[in-house]
Amino acid sequence: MKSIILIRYGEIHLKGKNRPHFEKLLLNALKKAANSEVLKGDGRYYAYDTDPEAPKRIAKVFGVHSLSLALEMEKDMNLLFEQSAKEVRQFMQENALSKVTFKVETKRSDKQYPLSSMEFSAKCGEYILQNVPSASVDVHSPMLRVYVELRQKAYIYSKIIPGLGGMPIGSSGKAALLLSGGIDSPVAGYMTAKRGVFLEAVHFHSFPYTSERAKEKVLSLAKILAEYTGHVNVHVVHFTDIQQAIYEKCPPEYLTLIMRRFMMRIAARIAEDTGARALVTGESIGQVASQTMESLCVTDAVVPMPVFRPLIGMDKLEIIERAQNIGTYETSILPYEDCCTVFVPKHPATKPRLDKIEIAERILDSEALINDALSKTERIRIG
Amino acid sequence: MIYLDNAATTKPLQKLSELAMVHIQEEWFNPSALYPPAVNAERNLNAAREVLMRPINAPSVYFTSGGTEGANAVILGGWSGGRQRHFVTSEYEHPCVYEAFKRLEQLGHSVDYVRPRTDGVIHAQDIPIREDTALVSIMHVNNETGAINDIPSIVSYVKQKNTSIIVHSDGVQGYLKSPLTMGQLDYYTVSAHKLHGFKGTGAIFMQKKVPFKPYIMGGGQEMGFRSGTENTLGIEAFAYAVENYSTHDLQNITAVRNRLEQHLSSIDGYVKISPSDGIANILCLSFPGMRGEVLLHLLEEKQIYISTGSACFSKKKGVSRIHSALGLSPQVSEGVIRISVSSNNTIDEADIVAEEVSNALKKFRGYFRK
Repeated sequence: MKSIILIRYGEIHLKGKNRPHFEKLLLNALKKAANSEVLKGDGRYYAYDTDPEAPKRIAKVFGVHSLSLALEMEKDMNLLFEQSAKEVRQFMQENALSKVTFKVETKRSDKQYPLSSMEFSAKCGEYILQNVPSASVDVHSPMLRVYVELRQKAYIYSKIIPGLGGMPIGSSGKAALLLSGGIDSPVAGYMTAKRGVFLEAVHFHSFPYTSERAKEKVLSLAKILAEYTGHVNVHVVHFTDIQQAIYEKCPPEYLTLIMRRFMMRIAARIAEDTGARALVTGESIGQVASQTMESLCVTDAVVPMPVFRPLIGMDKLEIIERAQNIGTYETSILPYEDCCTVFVPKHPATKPRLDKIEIAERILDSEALINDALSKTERIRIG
Repeated sequence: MIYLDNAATTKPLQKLSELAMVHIQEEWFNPSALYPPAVNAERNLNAAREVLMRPINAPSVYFTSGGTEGANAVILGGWSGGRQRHFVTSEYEHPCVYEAFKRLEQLGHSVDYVRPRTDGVIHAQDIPIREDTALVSIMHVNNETGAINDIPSIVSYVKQKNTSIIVHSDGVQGYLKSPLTMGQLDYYTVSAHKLHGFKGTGAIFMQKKVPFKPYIMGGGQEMGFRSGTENTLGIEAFAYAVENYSTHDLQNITAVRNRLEQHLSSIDGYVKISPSDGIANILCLSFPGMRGEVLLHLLEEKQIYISTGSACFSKKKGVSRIHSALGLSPQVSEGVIRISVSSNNTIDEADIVAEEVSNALKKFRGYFRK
């Protein structure tokens, strides 16, 4: 008898000929999360010899539908019955119950097994009733469901922990995430990664206007994302010279927009260099001046690839709730960015015109500025 | 590295590593126990008390975990009862004092916050005394500007009105650096790590008869004023640091600070915030048009470490309470930096720092929000 983690996957079931590819990616992600041996069964995985924290880590792997802490054993009927009774007793003890209602649910893929699943459930239930006097059956809404699976081996468990769903990382290619230290961009990254997209994070660092701590904060956020994605590459771009050049030469109301356009251009270059096919940002319509529809059009105009904005229709409160669930919120609200406000105009344009911005920008040697920033970019692997 | 943030903390004396070694190997006993090595530990503890009391002629002293605990203990428990009493403190106290008074307000007491005058100090006449005033707490030396408050005249002003009013002074930045005698002052709270001792050690100096209700209960150590096994190593280190803090240190500090001031004051737009008669080791200034934090980060690249104000504030957003109490304009407030010297600093360092400040200003000054 062995304690194992039984892992079920979701959407991959729907895939056709590519399915083995997806399964392999998921298996690799699971092995990393479990930090132990993981074997594939029919439509599921089994993780062996795991540490106590492994279920939490596995529950964060995209592509996992659910998991259970199960016992793997031989299909000896008496042993299975007795183990089922134990599950009932243990449940009562853990919840300090004097009475309990239960139901046995059996799945049988081993068609050679002498009992059908219905028969097995009935007999097992009977055994529990005889051996646990305070237990009674309720087939509609039992307090405890004991699951027995009869496959090559038998599996018993009573809890099903939901996973996050989604697709295994890497199954949908790569994208470059513009990662600030704020609340939104980590959520946008999470949502994109959940669909199987590997993230190359791009962070714009404005030393000495932002501090070493601001960079640490972004790396901490990347570390939280890496708990879901396996690992994240963070590209830290030295952005100060560009900000100063824009500040000195361009009209104040366009400072933010021109800055955003530079960020997009640089992120797109990093995307191209790393094989990413799209950009991801945490923008939602109308949240701030640079996120009005007109502003988004202006920033998109410099990007030769799709820009994904998974938060586009979300309110701030909804984004905060997601950030809290993901675990990035507490880090995002650390106050290490105060310094950058000199480059935020007092009266930013909210309905910018692309032609005017392009004219305003012409005074800058964009190519040289971008190349210089890229040459000072630091790549840090997290996770 | 050039470390000029000595008002935040100081480098422990080298000699303390030897002291720590002796402590770990031989002198680690609990001073409350009854056998000879423990009695020896108690003897050392009492010797340390004497060393600490001497410079300010204090009647008694009890050890704490630091400046914050000392101030909290006095403000919350160092006066005699009554449900709705009146208290006075200043608008520019360190948070360990200020927040304790905020707690008293939550408990239903009333608190007056006195503002410093334009000379940066609290004037005794500005302290509102009422019939129900229980305690007055005014810091000895302001941690951001280095302004020295005249504690003896504040004490005599308050006691003249009513001898039963308790007077406390937060001495974390002032102890040893600005001469003071306890006199009638009821409580004076200090911290070891500002004087090259260890963090986690502090002391409350107090009069023999004060209405002190401890808020840490336990084994009754420190005459019941502060339970908990004494931090014997920290205390001995504190005593060692005090014994070895000499007037020579103060002379050296003054020389370095004067040199810095001489250089920096020749830069255009220099605004000095420290009062001219402030404490020697703190120089608070501003270059409007250059954010203090930006200058700090530029200097950090050269391994020069300064502060934009109190470390206890530097992680909070918004306009500093201290700056608004001092009546600084937003432009000056944004540019505030604090350079705080110790006897480890040299004249050469002052020259280098002035040079680097000047370079940083040339490159990065003048970026206002447009």
